[in-house]
Amino acid sequence: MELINRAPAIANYIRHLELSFGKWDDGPNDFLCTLQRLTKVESLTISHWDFLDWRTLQWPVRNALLRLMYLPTFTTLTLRSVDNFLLADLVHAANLRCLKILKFYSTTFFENSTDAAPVTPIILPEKSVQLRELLFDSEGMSGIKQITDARRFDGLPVIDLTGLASLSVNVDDMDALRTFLKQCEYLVKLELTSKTFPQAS
Amino acid sequence: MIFFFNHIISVPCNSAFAGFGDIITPHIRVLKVASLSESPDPNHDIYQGTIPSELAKIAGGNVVELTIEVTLWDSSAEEWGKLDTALASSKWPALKTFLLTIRVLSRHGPEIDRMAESFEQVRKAQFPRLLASQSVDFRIELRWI
Repeated sequence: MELINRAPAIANYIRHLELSFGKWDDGPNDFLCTLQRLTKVESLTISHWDFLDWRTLQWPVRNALLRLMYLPTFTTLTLRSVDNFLLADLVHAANLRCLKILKFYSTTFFENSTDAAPVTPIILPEKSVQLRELLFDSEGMSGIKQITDARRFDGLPVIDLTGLASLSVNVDDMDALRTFLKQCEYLVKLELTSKTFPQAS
Repeated sequence: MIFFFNHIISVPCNSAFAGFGDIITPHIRVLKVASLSESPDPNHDIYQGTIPSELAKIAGGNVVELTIEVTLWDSSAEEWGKLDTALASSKWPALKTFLLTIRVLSRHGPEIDRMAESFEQVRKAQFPRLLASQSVDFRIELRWI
């Protein structure tokens, strides 16, 4: 971050960014200024040493992160130990193609995701997010059910799964998987793990 | 019948993937990479071959790469032959790579040595088709956890 502040031109060349939040969850001001300089980020990893509640992030921090997600170059979002993420926040991530959810433990991940209004901007993009790759590394089915159900204010899905090519998920509900896969017409890669042993219907 | 070191390992069944084949069937035209991984559950230690029977349901598709990871500790090794039969090249025309990883519960040094020896016998006896296949890169790996 200090390097970017000293030589701002570098910011235009940063494609992949990993942000690990610590006990100073909201970050210092110069951290936010530095994020504002980035213009061509393609992938962002947000992680926390323990647990980050997305909805308790202060607005300046959350807005700075959302601005990165809304860049035209942005394609890949990885959330590690981030809970209560809002799917509605992805409505304007027009070029998001890959979503990876790692190490989340709460079953309320994504819950009521469309209840809260998206931050900015207000005008909805023409299309839903066209996701190609989706990964959940634990307790996956509750999360992907939320993705399936999430709707924008105009009724379109927040995430269009028709073109999903790669799915990696922990299977704890075979019926939920069946329902989910019905949306996917071009599934090329499927990775299933099982940490529980449900009964198939 | 070959016993794999005191009934320690067998092909799992009654597993979390029961019903997997039916769910995947609509996708076999485009599906190319499939991976199944089971973690141990001490409450479910009776297996009878679900994965081979589920794989049989999606034979004939375009799967190029198949990975299976199982964690086992029970029963005989004779069921592995079902996996070898289910993945015969005539039924999986596009298959190029099959990686089977068997994780077993940690044991002491001498037991690991005996198990590895027994495992080699099982590999040769239970996977004749896959080992002889010219079209499939078949790798089988034993891990201690």
